[in-house]
Amino acid sequence: MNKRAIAALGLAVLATAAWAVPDGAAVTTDPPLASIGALEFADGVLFAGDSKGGTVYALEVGAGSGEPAEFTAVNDLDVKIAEMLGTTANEIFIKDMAVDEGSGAAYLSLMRGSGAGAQPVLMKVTPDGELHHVAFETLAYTKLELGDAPESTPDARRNPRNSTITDIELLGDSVYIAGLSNEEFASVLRRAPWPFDDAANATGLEIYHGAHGQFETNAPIYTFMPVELAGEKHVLAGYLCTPLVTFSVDELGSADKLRGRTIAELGFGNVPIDMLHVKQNGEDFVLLTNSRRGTMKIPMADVVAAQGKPSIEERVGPRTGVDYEGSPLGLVVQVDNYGSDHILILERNPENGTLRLSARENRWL
Amino acid sequence: MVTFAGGEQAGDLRVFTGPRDELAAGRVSVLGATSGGRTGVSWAPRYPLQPGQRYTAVWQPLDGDRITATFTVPGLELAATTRVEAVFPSSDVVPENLLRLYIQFSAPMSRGGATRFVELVGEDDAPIAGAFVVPEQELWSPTDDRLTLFFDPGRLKQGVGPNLAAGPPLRAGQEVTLRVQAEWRDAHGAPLRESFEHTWQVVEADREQPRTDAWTVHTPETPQDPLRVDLPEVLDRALLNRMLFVETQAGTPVGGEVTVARGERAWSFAPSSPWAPGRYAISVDPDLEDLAGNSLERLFDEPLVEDQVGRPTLDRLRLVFTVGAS
Repeated sequence: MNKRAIAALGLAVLATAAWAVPDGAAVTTDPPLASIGALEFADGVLFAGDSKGGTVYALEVGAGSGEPAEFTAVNDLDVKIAEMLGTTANEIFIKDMAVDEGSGAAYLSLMRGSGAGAQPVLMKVTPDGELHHVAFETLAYTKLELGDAPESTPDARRNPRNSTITDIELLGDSVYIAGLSNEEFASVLRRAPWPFDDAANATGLEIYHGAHGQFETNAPIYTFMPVELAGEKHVLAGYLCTPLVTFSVDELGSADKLRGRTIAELGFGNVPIDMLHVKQNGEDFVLLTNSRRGTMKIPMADVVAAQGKPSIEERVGPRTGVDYEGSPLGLVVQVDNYGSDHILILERNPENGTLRLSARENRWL
Repeated sequence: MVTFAGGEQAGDLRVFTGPRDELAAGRVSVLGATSGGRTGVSWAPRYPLQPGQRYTAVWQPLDGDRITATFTVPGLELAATTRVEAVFPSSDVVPENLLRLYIQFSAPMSRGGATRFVELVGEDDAPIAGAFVVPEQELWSPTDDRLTLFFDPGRLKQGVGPNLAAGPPLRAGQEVTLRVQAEWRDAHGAPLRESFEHTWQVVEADREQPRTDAWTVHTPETPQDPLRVDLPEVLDRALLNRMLFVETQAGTPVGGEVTVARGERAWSFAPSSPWAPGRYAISVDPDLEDLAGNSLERLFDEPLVEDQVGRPTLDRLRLVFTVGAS
């Protein structure tokens, strides 16, 4: 998620702790990632989720400044990555994309291979359309262990508990991490102070959401983003199959259990993948990409207005609450903001299945 | 390592994927490091070369003509040895609001097969479409040998839109079969040894919390006996392994091995060394869930109470038992 765009939209302006290594402190390089997935870019730091290792790494990649240059589209990106990594495109599994809007560099996390020899890889595409491999060896980093890597319980045959990190966001001086456990269903939204401190642990938050004023569930959040509602910082969260819920960041600070406000249900059989703030013709929208229900555009004004209404209380059809428009985008794989009036889209070509990375002006969304 | 041997050499050596005739201008070369030496010029790949893949090496010496060579990395001999060990719940009966299931393999698997090689079919052999929700990143154990599949939670939560529009994926009275196809590849790229099937009878939804006071604890009669617990309902296989501990009365964990049997209705614990006479406790995490995601602490979908979120957090529960004369 893109901080500058948020400021430009007049939404939550988030103070982020400056990334600095104190004088004389040892810099640790070569993060030992076991896997790589969710990415978040902020202030020269690329946060990378390692689900297999149960760790979030903060990689010091540096940042550019200013408005990014015009982006040269890259066709067959997966084929080109495969060529560079000495393999075939069907062995390249792109997991997430995050843009440094200052330099216009798009970072892509991917796994090379899916079996025993699978390796985490970080690539960067610069606005000139050039593909670069980012070597981990020289990257300085700090890390946050989530504490759910397998435990060494005495005599336990195995402890296969693991949670898949689905989204990472830096909000103020805290990093929030959404994840899906491979065992318990309950919400595992976690928070840790930023910058990471070896002593600090991630704390778990139980975020319930209500259904029609009758039931509440402690389901896992898949993707989320900061929004400002009635002058207060909130989080807009997307759940599996597919409620949209808001809750207050201030409440997150004081309670470990809270109930969000369900503002929409977007239908079954679907995973919400990514959320962005976009500005189009002077209006603010949430752009939401989905696994099965295309790309949705939700007016921010409607998200704000939903706060003044009761949570969804009537039993109605599969689409309920705040409404959306479909956005004329194709098979979107990844998306992020690119400057104040573009987004960068990784989409699958319906003809030959390869991936194309290109910038799109917001007015065409 | 790719080497052009023969005397002291230098110059530009690159390797490309594919055969020579596919080399086009502007193709990206494979990441690697070139080093020149007394016996030749060598190139080492950054990532291991792919078994079965064809590559073309192109060497432009400092003086002289460009030399190309094509080579194929030998493919691996792949024997189909991995199989599905079990599916959980292993019981014959599941509630209509079954929340998840696990497929346990005998060895690590490759990722990306969950939507391709697993199928849930009804009595008419027709696939039950959209039963599972498979996120972008499949939910594997860290050792890659167990896959978790969640049923669409929107269709399970009472009263929400998807539940009203489409109903739960399973219906009471139905017989459903999970099929795992042998084409699924293990971590080394070999197919499974055989396909796998498990059939369940679907019964009414389970909307009650599990309760430890309904458990039957069989206290060990000799120091060598395992501690056995009979469960009145099937509980989650994975959580049974992790959320029940045996500890001494003072709270020190007792080492031993947990066995779960009888369709996840029998839990037993064999201590690593014989029981010493005294009082012990089974310590139970209140997050322990049944097949529908109802835990000791709360229901999967809890009736909403104004001015209260969830239920007050429970402490671990302790079921005290005594071994030998006390």
